[in-house]
Amino acid sequence: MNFFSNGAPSYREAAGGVLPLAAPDLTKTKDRKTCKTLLFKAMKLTGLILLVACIHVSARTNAQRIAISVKNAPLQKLFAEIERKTSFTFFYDVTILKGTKPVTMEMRDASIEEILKIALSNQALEYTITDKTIFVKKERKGVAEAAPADTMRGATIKVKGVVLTEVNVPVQGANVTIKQTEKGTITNARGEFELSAVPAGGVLVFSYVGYAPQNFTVKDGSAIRIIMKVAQDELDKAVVQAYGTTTQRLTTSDIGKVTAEEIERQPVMNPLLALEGKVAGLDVNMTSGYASAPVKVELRGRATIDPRFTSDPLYIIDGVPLTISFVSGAPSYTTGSAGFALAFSGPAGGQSPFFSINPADIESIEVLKDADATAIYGSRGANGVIIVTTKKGKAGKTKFDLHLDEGISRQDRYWNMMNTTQYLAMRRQAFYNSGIAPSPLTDYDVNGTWDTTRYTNWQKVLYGGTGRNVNVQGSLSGGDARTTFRVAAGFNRVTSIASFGADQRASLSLNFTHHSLDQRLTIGTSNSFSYTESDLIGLPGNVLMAPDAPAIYDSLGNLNWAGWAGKYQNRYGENAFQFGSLKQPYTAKTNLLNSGLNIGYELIRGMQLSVGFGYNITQLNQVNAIPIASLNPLNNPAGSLLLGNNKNVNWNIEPQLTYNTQICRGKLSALFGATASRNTTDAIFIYGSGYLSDLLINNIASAGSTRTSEVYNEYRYFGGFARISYNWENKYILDLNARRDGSSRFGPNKQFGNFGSIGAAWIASEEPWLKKILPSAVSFVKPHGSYGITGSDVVPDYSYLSQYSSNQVLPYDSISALLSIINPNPNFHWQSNKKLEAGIDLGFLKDRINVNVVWYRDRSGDQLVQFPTPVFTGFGFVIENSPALVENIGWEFTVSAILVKTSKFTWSVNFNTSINQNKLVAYPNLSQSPYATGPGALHIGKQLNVTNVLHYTGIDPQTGQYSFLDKNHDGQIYWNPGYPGDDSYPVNLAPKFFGGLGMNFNYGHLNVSLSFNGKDQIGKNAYAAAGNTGPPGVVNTNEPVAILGKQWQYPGDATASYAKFAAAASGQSLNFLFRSDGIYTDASFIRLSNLSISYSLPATYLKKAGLQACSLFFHTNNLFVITKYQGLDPETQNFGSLPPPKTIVGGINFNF
Amino acid sequence: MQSKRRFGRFVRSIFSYSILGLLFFSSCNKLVTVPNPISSVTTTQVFSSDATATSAMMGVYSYMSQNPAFSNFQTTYLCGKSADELTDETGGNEIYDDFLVNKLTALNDGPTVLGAFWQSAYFDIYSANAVIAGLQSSTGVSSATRNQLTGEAEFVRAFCYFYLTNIFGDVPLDLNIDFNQTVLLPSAPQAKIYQQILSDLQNAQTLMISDFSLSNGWPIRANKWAATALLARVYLYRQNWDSAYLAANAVINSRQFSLVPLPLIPADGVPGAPSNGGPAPLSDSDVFAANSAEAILQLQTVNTWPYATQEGNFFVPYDSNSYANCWLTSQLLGAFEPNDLRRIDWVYSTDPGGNGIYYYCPYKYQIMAGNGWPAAENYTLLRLAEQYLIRAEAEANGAGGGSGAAISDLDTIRGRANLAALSPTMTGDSLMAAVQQEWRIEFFAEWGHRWLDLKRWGKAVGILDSIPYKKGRINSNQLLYPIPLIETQTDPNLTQNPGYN
Repeated sequence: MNFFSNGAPSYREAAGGVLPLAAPDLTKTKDRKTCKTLLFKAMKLTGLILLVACIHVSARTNAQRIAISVKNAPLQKLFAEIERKTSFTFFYDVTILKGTKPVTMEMRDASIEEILKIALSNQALEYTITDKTIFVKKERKGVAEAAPADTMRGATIKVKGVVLTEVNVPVQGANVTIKQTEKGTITNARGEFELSAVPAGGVLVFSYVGYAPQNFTVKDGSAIRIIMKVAQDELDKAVVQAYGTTTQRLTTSDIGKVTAEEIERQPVMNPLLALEGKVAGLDVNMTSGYASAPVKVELRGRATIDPRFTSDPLYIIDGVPLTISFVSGAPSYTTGSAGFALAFSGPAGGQSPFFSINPADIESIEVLKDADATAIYGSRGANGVIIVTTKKGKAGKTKFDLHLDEGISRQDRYWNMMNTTQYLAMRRQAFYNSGIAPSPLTDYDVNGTWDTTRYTNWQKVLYGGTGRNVNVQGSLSGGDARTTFRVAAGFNRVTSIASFGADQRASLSLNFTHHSLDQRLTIGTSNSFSYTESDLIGLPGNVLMAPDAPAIYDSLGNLNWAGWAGKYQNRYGENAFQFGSLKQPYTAKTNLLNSGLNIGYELIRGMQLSVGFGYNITQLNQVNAIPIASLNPLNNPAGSLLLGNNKNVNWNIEPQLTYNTQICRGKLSALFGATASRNTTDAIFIYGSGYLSDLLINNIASAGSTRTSEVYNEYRYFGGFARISYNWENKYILDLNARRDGSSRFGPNKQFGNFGSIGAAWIASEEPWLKKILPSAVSFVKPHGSYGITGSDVVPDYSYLSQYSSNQVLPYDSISALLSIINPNPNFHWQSNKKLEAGIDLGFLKDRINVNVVWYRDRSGDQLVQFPTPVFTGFGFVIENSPALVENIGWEFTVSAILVKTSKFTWSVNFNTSINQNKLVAYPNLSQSPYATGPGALHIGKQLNVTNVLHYTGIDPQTGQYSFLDKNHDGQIYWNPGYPGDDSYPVNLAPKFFGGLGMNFNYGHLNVSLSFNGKDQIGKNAYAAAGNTGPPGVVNTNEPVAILGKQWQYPGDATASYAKFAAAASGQSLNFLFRSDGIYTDASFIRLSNLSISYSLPATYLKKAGLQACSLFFHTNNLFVITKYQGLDPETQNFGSLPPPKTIVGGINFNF
Repeated sequence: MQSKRRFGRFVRSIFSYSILGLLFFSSCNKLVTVPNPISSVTTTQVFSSDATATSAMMGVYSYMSQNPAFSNFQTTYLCGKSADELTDETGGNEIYDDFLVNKLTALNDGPTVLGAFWQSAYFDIYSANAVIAGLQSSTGVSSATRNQLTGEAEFVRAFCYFYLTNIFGDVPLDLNIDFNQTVLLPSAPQAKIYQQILSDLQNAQTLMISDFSLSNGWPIRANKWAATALLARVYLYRQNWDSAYLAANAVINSRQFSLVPLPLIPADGVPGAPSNGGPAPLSDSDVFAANSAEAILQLQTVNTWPYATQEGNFFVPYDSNSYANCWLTSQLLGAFEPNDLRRIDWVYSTDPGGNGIYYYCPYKYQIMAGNGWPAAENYTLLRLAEQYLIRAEAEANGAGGGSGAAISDLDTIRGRANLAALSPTMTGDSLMAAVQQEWRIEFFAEWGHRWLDLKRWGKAVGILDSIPYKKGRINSNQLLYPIPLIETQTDPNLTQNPGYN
């Protein structure tokens, strides 16, 4: 990455021993000169390497021979000449050349050694060659003739030193290795190390996760002070893993990372949405356009058969798991978890837990994918793990950041529907075709009840508003070597494009870390508190309403029931008028407190004992009033009130012992720990009815009668884990994980399960023999693989226990009633997920281009399913392990590249895509299971996400009805999947592939970034998704203009693609259409999910204002979608629900 | 070399620590043991006291009442269509129409038969079994409560099995709540089911109290008389005339119940066609009102839905302009004698087209919408009029006082409907015909009486085949509904009824 920079060297440069760049202690004047020279050389060197890389010079060995011809040339010139003709670089202090004699030589086909031997004879200089670098130094008496290897046998010295970061914070646990012997040590809590037996002239390699490694050549026994610099190379940047950090270079597992930078660019309230298209294999779907709506997240395909279990991964925020217990009925695979809103789901269909997390507080989000990465979370890692790390303070100058932005959201993708004239013409034709007259009771649109000169585009009425976005973020951070802190506050408000409803969040986060004076004790705490409020209403009406329908409100501002129902004022009018929800406000107020405390103590060098405590609590109060004013006055209605009281509490304790040491020529790190956690989920639902006045509606005590139900789950979890990883010379890396887990969701004796994984990586590009073969453009080659078993305990709590409940049954004779709720089964046990992965990471052009290719196979067996029992046993199923096996096989490709990098202009690109093949491999006795029948009936060998539909074969030219394929040739069309005579076939609904493309341009102070995401999928066409269930021309249902002229018009009309207009449904033809593939269409899309432009003001202006930095920006979200899909949005296919809006915000960032 | 040895030592120590650690973890069962749930109670807790055990029994009634299936509405509706009582528009829901035209198949009617009858009846049986089993193993429940609740649960179990065996024939006899012991039960012969019903009812009779003191005087929990009344019906169906006579006689003579007079003119003044929209005001004197004096057992309306009973909601049209969901067959309408008060009070007519074409629908339950709670109508399971008819039929077959007594009992029912007394000299077939006519009219659109009666009289095929839309379709196989397909699939030991394989 820092290819051109003269700052910290890349890992390769250093590991190759090219650059012993110890940052000097500037207090010691004698080193100052060296520093300058070194810097000069470093610049020259990087330039040279770049040149070499760019012209694709293949590597040559010491054996390369050249011709040289110089006359009376200073040594410096000779060296330059050699550098020009070979791939070697000289490294020396210019001062040593003082007083050397110029040389004259004429040689052909000479080796470097031969040339230097002659050139340096009688010069009191000596040289050594390491890799492609020639070190020239003053000859030492006594060892002058010794080869470098011999130095090791000579006198050794004891070396002491300290390793610090750029802001003088000690680095604990940094590896210090003697290059020549591969022996080494670990720094202690104060960053100190001590090494005996260092050969004079030996090279020490300092490395620490997330920092660029450094080399230092030992000259004498004086203390060394090493300043580590944060890695700039993508491969060496810190990546959060389970209980620790690693780098893409050294990890054996598969971890995707999204940085704060990428998250900040996107004007979304829910940070999960910022992940869309960013990580290969991670499918993120928004379920509706409400900012607080649940987000469905799925990693590498569906693994669980039971449709009640969501695909949600395990979420960990600063070490604290955010678990929401399964509450029966609330979650489902297709709609995702209802999140915090468990009592009732509300207009947004639930509430995402991440709506309470402020994206501005997030430092990074890591997605842990394979067995090696997730096995340490044992049973909870089966669906992958998403680790959210919040921003922490950094030692140094106290910084104050202020971010302000404001913007708008709109929807301007509309579907071209008929206007009133076209609509009425269609309706009249429909009556003619059906041979009936408009009914005075129902056909208000044509029977004279409604004003047929009116025209309303209902899409614009429903979605045509402009949403407002306001976002204010402020943070103060800083600290010193012992204490760092960050305090941040934010406010974010988004109003809906539906012109009613707003989502807002205020948050506060507080992090601090403190080290004791001897640095051995560390205490860190991170806390965030947020308050959110969603004021929503259920989206009223429907976009297919007749364009001549009356206004929503009457002249007095009341709901226009009378205007819609006409003179008959009967229940059909009630059906036609669908705006009652406009007066049925829903409010959800959520408090979330997430708090983590970590205490660590260094027992002995390299061994750290720590304990993490985590606690989070969510309280969500839901209120949904249904006042009399919102109901049809004809029915003498009474008001009602829905209250939801949700509380979710998690705590966990995790003691850990880590040990890092050098063993033989490798680094060993070991981790032992245990985790104990408890989750309680409590959802109370109160339904009050019989309110006789709207004035009393907000008081539950005023209800005529109330019904209450409560779901309370307690979930306890205990696990012990160990990880041992061994890294042999940064070449061979082995990682072993073991975990024993216990979960309260299982019956006695079935609670514990064992899980584990093995992961290995081989950094082949470190092998000298391979280096010789590889073209020099290839800078990094790492094949890696892992295999492991994780588990899953996704079953409702207490399923093993015989229970009674009052929830589903009302009091009888004023005595509370109890009913058995399940067939208990104490015998089910862990579901097992076996994950196999193989991949290769490649770096090109000094890691400027990184490519990762991964193949995986996840097999989920011992599936926890609803095992069918005859209904006469009381219940139709029990929870049981089925030997059913689900397989997900996939490929993931990730490329990140810096295409152009000059001092003024940078262009970088990243791309990812993934393909997943989901398959039900086996399911014994599938035909008797609940999954054998119904629209989602499963088939062996097919994927889980199927819908079973008839094959649509077009309009029958004779009848004008929809026609279908008689698959079994029994002479009749019959839809009833799983039953004999059925003509349906399965259609895959999971996306074929999906991915994202991001681009970032930097020109001077201007930064432009774009990110696209796309999916190849099918979905319900807008026509069906809008809930249209009648033939074209049926009452109060508008149609797209596109069907005009394409409807069937006369017997023998073979060109029609829509059924004949009809005022009433007749026969099964239409029912079957909605159970056929005729309603599925290509819903593939490419979305410009983010375009962001920012301009940072030049430093000269800032100084006057006392600013460190200041930037102006525009962020946009969902600017356009390229798709063939008709309707509002290919992703939110439900035409009735709120589509995702496009958002543009502009703002300013100050750093003081 | 040395380092290698050190490494080996290190690995060994890691392993031994890990094993120690794992041993430690496995003793940590406490950390993964949760306390009993709050939103539900364990079975042991339920049967630890009189109050909670009573709640479990209330759950059985409440579920029967709130679930619009076998024990609330569907038996009346679907059996009524299978017989010659009810009809509905064709071209609507085809699955339901299969009842109307008697063309059920195991294949496509599995879900309906399953949902409407099988599933809910067996869930009630499961719940009753759970109460019986829970009480048996409990020590914390007083013996009085234990007896009463056991009796109530046995009554419910017998009631459900009565309908199951009459609708399906041979069905599994499930008396256990452990699914491991019941999943593979075979179909039990009908005789065995009846044996169980009889033993349950006889036992329940002795266990239960003989008044409604436990439910504040309301007939909403089974007592001794409910068990006796059902026993009378079971004896009748088994043609045990003397026992049927004795049981019915005991109920009638208990003087706990009395026939409620029918109003000569409906409360709204318009015979058979109440005014638009407004349900007739109810009083305790209505036969189907809550706490009706005639009721031997009712299910209390527990739902706060804006109507009282599912039947009232479904059968009574929205207003006089609206179509009903379902209406009486012309055969049934033709069977009413002129001026029968039951025709006047219990039938509602509408003229949706405004063209003088009337539709008639059941109007026994009259609350269509919104009278709040507590509801003025409860759903009647057993009422006194049936005991008169049981006694009459038993007498007509030679029990008790013989034909004279039978005619007297029939006249009691007819008199209430403002009909003239029968000829006192009727005997044999003509008397039996009069008994059957009275069953048909008194219990039309009520609990599928007509369907069960036609079958037990052996007259079903003959009578139904004369109805045009049933003609040629109805055969003896159709008299038993199919065992739901999902059941024969999950339990291979079940026997499907003939004609459905």
